[in-house]
Amino acid sequence: MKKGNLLIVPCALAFLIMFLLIYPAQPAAAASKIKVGYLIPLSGTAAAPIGQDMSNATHLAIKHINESGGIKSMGGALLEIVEVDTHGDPKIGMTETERLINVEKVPVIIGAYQSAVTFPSTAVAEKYRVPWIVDLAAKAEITERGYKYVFRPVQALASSNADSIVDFVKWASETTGKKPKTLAFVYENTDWGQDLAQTLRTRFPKEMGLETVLDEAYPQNSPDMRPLVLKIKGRNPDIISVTGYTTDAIQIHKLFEQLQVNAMAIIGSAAGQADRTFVPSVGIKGTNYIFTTNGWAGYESCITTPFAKKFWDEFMATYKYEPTEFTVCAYGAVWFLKDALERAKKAEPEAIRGALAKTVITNTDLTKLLGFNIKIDGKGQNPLKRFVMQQIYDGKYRTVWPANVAVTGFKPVWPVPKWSGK
Amino acid sequence: MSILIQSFLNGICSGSIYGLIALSLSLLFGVMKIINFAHGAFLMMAMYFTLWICRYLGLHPQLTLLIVPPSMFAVGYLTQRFLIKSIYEKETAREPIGVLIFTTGLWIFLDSLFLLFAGPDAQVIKHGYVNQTLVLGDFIFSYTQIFGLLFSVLVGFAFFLFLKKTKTGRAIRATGQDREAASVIGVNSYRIYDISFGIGMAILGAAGALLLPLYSVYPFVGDVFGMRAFVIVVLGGMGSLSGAFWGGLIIGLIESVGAQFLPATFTEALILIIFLIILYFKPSGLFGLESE
Repeated sequence: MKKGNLLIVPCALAFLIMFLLIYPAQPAAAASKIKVGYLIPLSGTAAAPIGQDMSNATHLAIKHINESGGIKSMGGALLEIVEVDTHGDPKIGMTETERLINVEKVPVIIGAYQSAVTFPSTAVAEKYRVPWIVDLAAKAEITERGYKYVFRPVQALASSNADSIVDFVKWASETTGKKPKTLAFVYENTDWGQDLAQTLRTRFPKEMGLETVLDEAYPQNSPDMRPLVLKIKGRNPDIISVTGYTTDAIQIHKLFEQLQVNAMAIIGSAAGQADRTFVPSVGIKGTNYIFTTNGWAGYESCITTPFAKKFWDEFMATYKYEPTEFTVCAYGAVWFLKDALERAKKAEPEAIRGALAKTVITNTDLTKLLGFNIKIDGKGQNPLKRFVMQQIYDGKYRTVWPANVAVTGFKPVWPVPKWSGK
Repeated sequence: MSILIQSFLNGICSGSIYGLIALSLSLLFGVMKIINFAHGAFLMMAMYFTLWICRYLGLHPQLTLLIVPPSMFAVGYLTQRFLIKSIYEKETAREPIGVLIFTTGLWIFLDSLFLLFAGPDAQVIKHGYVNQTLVLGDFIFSYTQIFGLLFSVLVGFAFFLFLKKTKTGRAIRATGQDREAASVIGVNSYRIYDISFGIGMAILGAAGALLLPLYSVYPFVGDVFGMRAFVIVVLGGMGSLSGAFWGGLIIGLIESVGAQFLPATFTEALILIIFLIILYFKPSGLFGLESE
C-alpha cells in the first residue's frame, strides 16, 4: 500500500507536465484572430442538452464564417471561440464573464442561453463596456435596464412567447367556434417560467374570459411530478399550458398520457416540448396533438435557400439530429455578429458595440433561415422576432400559426381527441 | 376526493422507493459511520445499468432486477475493498473524515464520467411495460408504480430478516454497534465493511432499477434523489434502518398529498419544515435511539 502511494506523486507530476507542455502550444498561431467569448451550460443542469445543441450550432456558424473568408473588412480575420461551461449557475456565469473580459481579452461575448445566468452576467459585461449578444434568454429585463452593451437579435421577450400562446388560442377558438372556458398553467419556478406565467395570468382572463383553475409553479428537476399532474387532472381544465425544460417536460407529458389527462389543448412553451429528445422520450402516442410555441417555423417553412440548406445539411451530417429553434437561433446569433464585425472594421468593444446597435438586416439569406427580419431598437432588442405555434403529429412539428408560415396541407386539430380516442 | 385518495396511494408508492434509497444510505452510515456523498451518483450508475441492459440486451425492465443489484453489489464491494478501505485504515478517529472527503470526490468523478460517456441527454426506457396502467374506476396506477411498491417492501423485509436471522447479518449489526467489541469476539470488521457496502449498493441498485421506468436518467439525476435521501435518513434517525424506510414513506406522502393543498414549490419547503420540527423535538430523528 505504501509503495502504491509513492507512485501517485510522480504520476500526477507527469500529467501536470504533459498538460503544461500541450496546453499553451495550441494558440499563438495566426495573428488576425477575433476572440469571441461564449457562455453556455453544457453540464450540471436540466438545460444542458439544449446548451449542447446550441454550442454545436455556434461552432458550426464559426466554421462557416471562417470558411467563407472570415471578416472581410478586417482582412479576412478569423473568428475564434472561447467557450465556457456555465453549469447553469449564475455565479459561474458572472466570474467567467470577468475572466473572459480581463484575462482572455475578448471584445464581444455571446451567451448564455438561460435567463438566470444571462441576466447577472450581462451586468458584468456592461460594467466593462463589452458588448454581449444574447442568444436565447427571454427574460424581458435583460434589455429593459437601459444597458448600452446588450443586444438580443434572435430572441423575443418571454412575454411575447406567452403572447403567441394567447393569440393562438384566440385564433383557434374563433376559427373553429370551439371556445375553451377554463385554464390551468404550470411553470418552472425560474425567472423565465414566472415571466411567461405573468402574461398568461393577465391576458387570458381579461381578453377571453377564461377562468383560471390552476396557476402553479413547480421546482425545477422535481423527483416526482405525479402530484402536480394529478392536481391538474383534478381541476379538469380546457387549456393546459406547461412551461418547463426537458427533463421536467418529459416527466409531465408522460404522466398526462398515463393518467389520461384530457383537455381541449395542451400547450408547451418552446423549451422542453421543442427539445429534440422530447418526442423520442415521450413517444409518438404521448406527443400526438401537443401544441408548442416555437421560435422557429421549421424545415418546411424556412429551409428554402442554399444558405439555409448548407446549414441544415452540414448540421445533420455532423451531429446526426435535426436542428431546432435553439440551433437556428444560436447559428443566427453568430451571423448577426459577423454582420456587425464587417461594419465595425475593428475588433474593439466600442466599435463592435456601435455597429451592433445600428443593425438592420432585411430579406437576406439569414432572415429567411430565421423566419423574421432583424432591426435593433433603442433598447438593443429586435422587436421583429415572434413565436409561431406548432402542433406535434406523428413525431413531426408542423407550424399551424400564424398563416404566413403555416405548413400548407396540415390543418391544426382543435380540440384534440381524448386519450381514449387517440 | 378520489384525487386525494389517489395522491395518498401515489405517495406511498414513491415513498417506498425513497425509503429504499435512504435505507441503503443508512446502512453505510449505521455500520461504517460513513456518510456516503457519492450515494446519488451510485444511484445514477444503477439507473444507467438498467437503461443499458434494457436497451442492448432487450430485457424486460422487471428482469433487470436480477442483474442490476448483483452488479451493484460487486461495484460496492470492490469500491470498499480497493478504494475506501485503505483510507479507512489510516483513520484513527471513530468517524472517518477522510472517507467523507473521498466519497465527495467520487461523487464528482462519477457524475463527470457518465457525462463524458453517456452524454447529457435525459434518457428513458422504451418498453411497452413502462406506460401500462391499471385503471380501477377513477384510479389510475402504472404497473411500474405498483411493482415498485411491492418489490421495495419485499427487499426491505428480506433485508431485515437477513440482519436478524443470519450470522453475517448479526455480525453486521454487531460491527455497527461497536466495532472494537465485535473484533474482540472474532468478527473481521473489514470483511463486514466490504459486505455491507456491497449490500447497500445492491439495495440502491434495486431502487435504481425500480425508479428508472418512472423517471428519466441523466448524469446528474442522482443529486435530485441523493439530497432527498439525506433528509430522509436524518428524519428517520441516523443509523436506524427501519427509520429510513418509514422516513421515505413519510416524505413521499408529504410530497404527494401536500401538493394537492399547497403549490408544488411549497411542498419542498413543507418537507424541510416538518424535518426541522421533528429534529427540534426529537434530535435523534423519529426512530433514532437516544444514545451518547
